[in-house]
Amino acid sequence: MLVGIHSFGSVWTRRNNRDDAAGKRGVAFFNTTGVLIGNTVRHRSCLYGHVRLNGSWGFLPENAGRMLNRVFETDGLAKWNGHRKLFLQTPAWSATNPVRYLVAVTSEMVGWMDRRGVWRSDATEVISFSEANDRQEALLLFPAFGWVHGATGTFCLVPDRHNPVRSSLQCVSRRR
Amino acid sequence: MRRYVSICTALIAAGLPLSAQTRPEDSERPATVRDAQPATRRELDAAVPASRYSPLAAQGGYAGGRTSPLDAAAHALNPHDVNLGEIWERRRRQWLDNAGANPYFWFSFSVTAVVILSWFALAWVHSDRVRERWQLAEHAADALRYAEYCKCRASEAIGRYNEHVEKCNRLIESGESGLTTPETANLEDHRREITRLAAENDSKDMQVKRLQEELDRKTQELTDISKRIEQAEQRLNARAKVASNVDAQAKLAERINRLETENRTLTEENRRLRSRSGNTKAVAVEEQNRPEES
Repeated sequence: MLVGIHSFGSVWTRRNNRDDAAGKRGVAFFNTTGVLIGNTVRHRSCLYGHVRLNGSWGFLPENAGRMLNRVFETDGLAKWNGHRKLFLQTPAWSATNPVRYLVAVTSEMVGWMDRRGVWRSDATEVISFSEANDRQEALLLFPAFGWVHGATGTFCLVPDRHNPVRSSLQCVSRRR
Repeated sequence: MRRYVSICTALIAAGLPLSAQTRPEDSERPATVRDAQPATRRELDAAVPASRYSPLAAQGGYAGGRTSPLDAAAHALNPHDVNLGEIWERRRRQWLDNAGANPYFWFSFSVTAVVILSWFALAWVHSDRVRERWQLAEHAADALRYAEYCKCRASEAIGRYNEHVEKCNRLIESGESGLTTPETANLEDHRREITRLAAENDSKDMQVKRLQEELDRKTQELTDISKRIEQAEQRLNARAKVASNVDAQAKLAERINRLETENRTLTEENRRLRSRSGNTKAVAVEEQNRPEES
């Protein structure tokens, strides 16, 4: 499945692993959601999951901004060890039509999201959700024209007309 | 605390035999063979001088009574030739005689050692206690968090159960009365459904708008292409017409020429026939006029 990157979550972690079959030492980076507590971004996960990227092809979290509006090959959202995991394998440089979009949504953008109510479209999948201190952050996997509903209104993910790799979260209705 | 008591007991048990070893009989130890032998070579030389059996030594050795640089340096450092080793040995023996053979010394030494070791044991026990306290605090924090989580989940479950029972009650009431009362309709569910449908509708509107724009763009492109095709067809037809006109004119000219030639031929033929028929007509007219005249 091809996944376009709209934005990443706030928390990056790094792990040196020796899990390769060849015994090679590799570096893996994990991205998930977090909220600002004091001066520190902490997990405070209601629903934990992460996005994994390998450092073998030169990825560094410091340069994560360069990965935005790019397409990655993935196996889709899976469950591993009880957590949701999306493994972004390698960038697909030539792909132009992603099936899903990885979007980090915060309560500052869309307002408070009522998790017990209706807050996202059925086709939208949740990777991780953090909530604390009157702040929320969710890492979602949107289809094209998927929506998320917050206290501010309903926001729809609209792919760019000329370049579908790019996408934007547009407000389609304000709450009256 | 139990560990501390056991450590103290073990230390005391280890200390007692140590103090018991320092008995007064040690001071009355008999002199061994090693004690009877001379301890150093110098003592040996003092016992049997080399001059007794070596004439070279009797003459003063190879040095011949001269001092070596090493001896001179040693003499400079120790001008009175004080035998420091002998003094050290003498004092060590005195100390051993006074302290090593004294049971009170060994008793106080062992007690001091036990006290110092017990300080270490106390420090160890204290650090152990502090670590245990931290672990206890962590476990207590975990338990408190887990209790909070359990309470939260329990309240959620209770809420869901109450909601379910409420629904069941309303269903039972509506079943009994046969009428739909406002209580039977779950307003919250309806609101959620409305919210969901409104959001879906907005999303679909956006999608439809985008598709409509795409369609308009495609239609415009199609219209442009149709116009261009029509213009191209018209141009092709015009070219074909021009080409066909040239052929027709050529054919017409040829036909005209042919017809002119035929006309000329026919005219000559006609003239010739007319000239012939003029003579015969004149004869026939004369013959016809004759009976009328008669």
